[in-house]
Amino acid sequence: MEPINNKLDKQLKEQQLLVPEGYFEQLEQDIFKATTGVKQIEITARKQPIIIKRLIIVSAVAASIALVYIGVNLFSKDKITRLGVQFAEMTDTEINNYMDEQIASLSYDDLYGYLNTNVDDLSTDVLFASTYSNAGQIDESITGDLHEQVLDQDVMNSVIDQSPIMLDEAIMDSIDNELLQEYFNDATLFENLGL
Amino acid sequence: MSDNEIVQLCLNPSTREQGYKILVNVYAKKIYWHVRRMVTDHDDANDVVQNCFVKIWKGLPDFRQDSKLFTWVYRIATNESITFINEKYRRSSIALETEGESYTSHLKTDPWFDGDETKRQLQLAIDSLPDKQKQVFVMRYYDEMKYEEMEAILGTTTGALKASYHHAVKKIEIFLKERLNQT
Repeated sequence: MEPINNKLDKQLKEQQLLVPEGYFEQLEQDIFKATTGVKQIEITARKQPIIIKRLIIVSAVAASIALVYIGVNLFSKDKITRLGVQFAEMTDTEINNYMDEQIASLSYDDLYGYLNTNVDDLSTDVLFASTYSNAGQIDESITGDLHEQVLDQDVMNSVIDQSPIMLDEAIMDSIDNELLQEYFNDATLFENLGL
Repeated sequence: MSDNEIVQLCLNPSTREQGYKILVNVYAKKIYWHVRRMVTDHDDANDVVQNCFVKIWKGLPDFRQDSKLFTWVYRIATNESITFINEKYRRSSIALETEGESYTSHLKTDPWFDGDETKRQLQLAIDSLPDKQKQVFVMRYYDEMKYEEMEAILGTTTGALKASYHHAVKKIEIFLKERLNQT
């Protein structure tokens, strides 16, 4: 029988502890998931600056769109596993910061597209047209539509009631004053509009 | 990439994740085996290793570089292993010797332990050592660490470490003589 020291030496050095095949590759992935994945928040929206800031109504609508936009992105199938648990663990400040980033990343096209589909056409066009600083930017078709839709007194009232200053000078110039006077009963409205 | 370069990446918030991934790539396997030789069971080792790297990730921003990265990582792994072992035995409330008998039976059926009766007894001998001696034995014999490195990790003087190692080897020898002579 070999001296115990030699036997100890040889036997101990031999690997008798086994690991499953592919374990170490999986171990690294598991470690990354358990650690770096916790605070990771993926922002996939395009980073384009918002240009509509002046209108109160548009800002409120933009916030609503952002909530829908964020909800769609958060709960899409390919992200729910990664973001669902992490979102629940986020603090209020982190959630607010995330929503602010999402709102800031919405493009003019995103907002216009949403409003055009989900909000009354006149309001959409008027709201967006009112942001133009140069009257030449206004699309002819918008003013053309306005000529027809201005006949809808309820629509015009709803727009003007909310924000009298929203109608741009260029739009007002294209609308017949007499036509407007037929449909507005409150003369003070004209004063507010600078007519 | 050197440990210093990994540390610099990890300390920079913008490259922390990149540095951490390199750190995991470099140390995951080494830490696993270091832990596995302490806790023996594969599933237990897997859990302890995950805990180690979570602690490493959380501790990275505060890593002061007053020790080497290697020392810091191994210290975490050693402490986590000892904590796990103590917790396991505390929960089971079984004395080491009694636990050893049932543990040998467990080794017989453990799919991740490939050894005959002699190897099982060897593993049992190592597991029967006091925590500190087991640490020293595993680090010196399996990890082949220098006493200076072990001193930095365990915070024990080189002289004390050598003494621990000597006692550990003697105990294993006596244990095996008794067990092998019985069979």
